[in-house]
Amino acid sequence: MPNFFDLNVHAYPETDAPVEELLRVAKRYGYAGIALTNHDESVKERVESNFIITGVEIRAHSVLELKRKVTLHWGKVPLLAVHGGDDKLNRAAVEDSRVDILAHPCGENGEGELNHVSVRYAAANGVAIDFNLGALIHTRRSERARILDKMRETLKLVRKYNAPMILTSNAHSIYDLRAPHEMIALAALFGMSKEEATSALCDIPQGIVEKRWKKEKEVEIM
Amino acid sequence: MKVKQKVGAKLVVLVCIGMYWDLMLYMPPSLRERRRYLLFEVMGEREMDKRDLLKEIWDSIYSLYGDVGASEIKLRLIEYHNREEGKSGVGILKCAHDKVEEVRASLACVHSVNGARVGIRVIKISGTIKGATRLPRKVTAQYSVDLNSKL
Repeated sequence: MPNFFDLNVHAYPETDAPVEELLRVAKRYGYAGIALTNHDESVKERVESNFIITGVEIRAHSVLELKRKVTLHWGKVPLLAVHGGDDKLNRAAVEDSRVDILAHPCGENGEGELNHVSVRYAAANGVAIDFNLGALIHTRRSERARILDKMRETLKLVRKYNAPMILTSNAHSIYDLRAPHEMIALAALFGMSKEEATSALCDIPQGIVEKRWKKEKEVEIM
Repeated sequence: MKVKQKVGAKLVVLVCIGMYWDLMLYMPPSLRERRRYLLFEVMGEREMDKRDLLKEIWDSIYSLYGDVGASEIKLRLIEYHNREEGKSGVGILKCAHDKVEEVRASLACVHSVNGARVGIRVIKISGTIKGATRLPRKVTAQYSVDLNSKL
């Protein structure tokens, strides 16, 4: 059984989902770990478990603010994600090798876009491109069609430049979490193959947590 | 006498029709549609009605695959019951054997039933109902799946 990870889950106090509940449900669903990435603030509650990774999702309105917040959080949390959506912010996030994940690059409801230059930077800097499956669960009709279209385009670019990609639920409650096999089935909706989806849920998230693509960079900084 | 004869004749006719009907209903195994049975688990905020749940699942399928896709999936709800604690339930769905991934995606897209948030997941897939409900004892204890007694 492969180790599945979900690297974008929001917990209390940002949402009404307590950490223990999320832990219980994710374990039941067969995950090997989840990352709590609350916006701009890591979860204070300490859980004595290897299961939970406490990260931060940085939300910024300008490139300057983003840089400032990345510098503030880097080194203090094991996982640094950036709340994507805006073109300029996406570009700034993938150019910064300190960032681990660019969460929902097409925005939470498919309003942004990711171009080929950004994806190339992401591949070079080891910034994982996130496919937010929660958006597919919570939207219907034309909105969902637009999001699927965006995801298909992003997937094409990611395949071309071989950038790391991950599948996340962007869950705000325990009812938003989905079991790994359901995530794979959802990823098939925008053309991701079963093998790709499995590695986007197992190997790549594990690599991100271990900073597999960052080693040389970190040595440089030290 | 005559009345008895008439009744007897009617009975013979009825039995004949019955036999013919049986022959018509019997489908050779080679011609039967191949299907899969999915054992699924629903986790929700409140206890929910079987009909509301099925309606949401159908809505999700129509929304994702349209009428044509829905007809190809051939979905049937075989069994559903809420667990004792009320907030979750288990059930069995039947679908065409090559549409399991489509059904999985549709189930994953169900996010609320009657305004209560829910999450659905598939526990097991099998070619027979018996296979879908027969789980190792460890698994049964973990998920408290108790369908054998109900079927």
